[in-house]
Amino acid sequence: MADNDNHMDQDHDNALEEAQVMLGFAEPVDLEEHGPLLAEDFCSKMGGLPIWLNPEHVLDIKDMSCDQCHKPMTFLLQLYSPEDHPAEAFHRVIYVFCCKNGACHKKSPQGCFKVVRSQLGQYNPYYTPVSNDDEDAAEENEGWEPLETSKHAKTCFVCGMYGPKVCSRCHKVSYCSAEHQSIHWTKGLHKQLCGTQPPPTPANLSELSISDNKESKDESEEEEEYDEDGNVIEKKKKALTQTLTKEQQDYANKLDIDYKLVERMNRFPELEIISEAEIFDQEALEEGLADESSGDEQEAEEGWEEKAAALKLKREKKAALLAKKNGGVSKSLETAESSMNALVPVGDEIYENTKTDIDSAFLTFQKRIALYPDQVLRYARMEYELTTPEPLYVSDIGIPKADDIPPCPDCGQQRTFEFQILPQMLNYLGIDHSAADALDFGTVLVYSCKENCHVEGKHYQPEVAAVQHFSEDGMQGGNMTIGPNVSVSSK
Amino acid sequence: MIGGWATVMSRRGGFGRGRGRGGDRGRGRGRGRGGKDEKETWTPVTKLGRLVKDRKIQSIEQIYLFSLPIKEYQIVDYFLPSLKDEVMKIMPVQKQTRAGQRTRFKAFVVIGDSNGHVGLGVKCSKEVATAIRGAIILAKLSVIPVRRGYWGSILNEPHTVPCKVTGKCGSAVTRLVPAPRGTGIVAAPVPKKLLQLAGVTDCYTQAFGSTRTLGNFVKATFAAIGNTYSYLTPDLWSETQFTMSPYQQYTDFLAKPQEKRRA
Repeated sequence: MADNDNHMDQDHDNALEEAQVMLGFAEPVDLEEHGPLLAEDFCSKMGGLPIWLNPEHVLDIKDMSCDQCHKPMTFLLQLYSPEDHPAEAFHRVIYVFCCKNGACHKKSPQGCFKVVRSQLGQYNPYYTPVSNDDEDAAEENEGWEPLETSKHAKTCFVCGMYGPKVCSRCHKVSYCSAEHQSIHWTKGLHKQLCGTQPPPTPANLSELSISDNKESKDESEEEEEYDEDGNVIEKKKKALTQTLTKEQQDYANKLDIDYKLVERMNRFPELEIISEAEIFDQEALEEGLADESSGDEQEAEEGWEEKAAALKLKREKKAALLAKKNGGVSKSLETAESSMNALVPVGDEIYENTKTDIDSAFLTFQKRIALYPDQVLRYARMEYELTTPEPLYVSDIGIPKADDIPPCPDCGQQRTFEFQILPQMLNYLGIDHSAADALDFGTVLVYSCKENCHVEGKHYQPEVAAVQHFSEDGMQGGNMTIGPNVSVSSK
Repeated sequence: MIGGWATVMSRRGGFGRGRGRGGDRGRGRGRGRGGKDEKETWTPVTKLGRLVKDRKIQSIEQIYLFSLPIKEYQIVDYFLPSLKDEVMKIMPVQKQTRAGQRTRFKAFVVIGDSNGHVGLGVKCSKEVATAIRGAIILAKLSVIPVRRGYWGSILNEPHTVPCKVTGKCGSAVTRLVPAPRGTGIVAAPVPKKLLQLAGVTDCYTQAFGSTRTLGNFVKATFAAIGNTYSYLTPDLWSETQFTMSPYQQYTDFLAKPQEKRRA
């Protein structure tokens, strides 16, 4: 949170100021207005299948396996973040993958989040600007459309990675591994539909619903289950629909999350990430960062007593009004929250006396996100002329130091902070939080090379993700001792 | 300052520093999203918060049982909607700086539901209102269960502290002694308020040290009340059957139907 350039005078407002952060919010894909998400939309999204920037060269599953359990990782999100230099980074997408198994994250934070960067120049064999006769078509174009000559690599139906294998029956659906093939065969109900319908293209994948069973492919490993399958599959279907409680269903409907698709295909629910600038009063925040005062403070005599008394009266009146309105004790979750809504501290200093389970970094974090509580992403690299703001840490421990972040292998320079994923995103992933090994993190900081090094032939450059957890996490279930959490850093 | 930003950033929305590209997707939020909608609902940040929002945890006692740290005050709001707060004192504190004196206000807030839960919050800030608001949130985060017991015969509801407990902060020491039914709270106004909000009906108190320092006095009483559950009384001598924490409770339940499906 601290300004890097505190030594600068307050008068020099323009030079070396921090850029504003762009926030990301998860919203359901607006199918009626815009249609499903396509590669030429260059959008940012989370969950579902990855939409490859470079449709000809896609990631292989071997590069994206968890270091702990060696299973293929699940696609978490992709961010479209174009840059001006170099020219090859005209189109630029950052992909983030994570291991769905929370136990891997607990064992070791390294290797459970993987980030890659993919970029394309302005003139590439895949996309062309929509034919527009304006002169400033390069500046503000109406959109892009795919070239007919662009080649598409085969992608796995379940995870979206490179799919060299193919269904042995219908030869239409591709897979990356035998594991995903069997998932599609059983859970994806491909067994019933193998050979019946044409394979879906990435364009209409998001329109698939559970009721439309698309083709499946299977290998002959599970031959014996065919006979009983008819009955077993029916029961399985029913069991799946019953697992969601009414509240979960309402919540899922609200967010348009198809939990069943998530469960079956081992993906996260697909949502679009919408950006919005963070507007806050920085001056008040800066004023609040006052020095620690301890010991040399004495009581003062001022005209503050009237103010305090008046305030007390006001609060009592307000409380009486509220009590009358709600008829005493408010039971529902929403009214309790709304009545306490006025108590969120806005732009105040972090100095506090009461010892609770929170540290000052967490307090700052809470105050900052209180302005936009449901943000899921904070993108910091917004301006060339201004400094990138520091990431918003969630705790005092586990802050990655400069040595923890390896430099870019191509240019050798230090990687800089680009964006961070906030824990609110976990609400949108459709995971069961009560499981002991559910996915959990405090924040994921993504560092990338600021020169956007381009290497010919290497389409996906690896970048670095550092995970920070909340402090004093007593989440070992039954373990009564709560000590400082193991500080985590990821290479 | 915000006006200056608008001129520098000639693009609207989107991520990244490059010139705007792509279509209209992803720029700004749809109607009805940027309004009052988010202000009312709470988006949990910690795992405990998510479990509470999913209504997987039935009472705050489950959280206390496993000593899980509560980092979001909305969790306490959810379980204890009837908390009453009381501002004990607003104390202006000064610090000498080169440019004169800098005055800030320290607010002491006590919160409780008069039925076994109390919290104490202290917050210092430049404005009185901000200090009170911050102190209320800190008080909610520090809510602690209070154990009540009987003085004599075990009839009706518990009405007093289970045993003699003591708490100390600075030089102020507060001692709470069980009292027979109908005694009321025999204490100075400061600890009396705290004990009333805790739900203790009858209690004798003894105070030592400098009780004029209200900060230390109220913290000492709060510590004494908190010690009621730390004290090992003879009825707790039997072996405890450990139950599963909220995080483990559901794994078994989820495991069983899985097996049925595969079979």
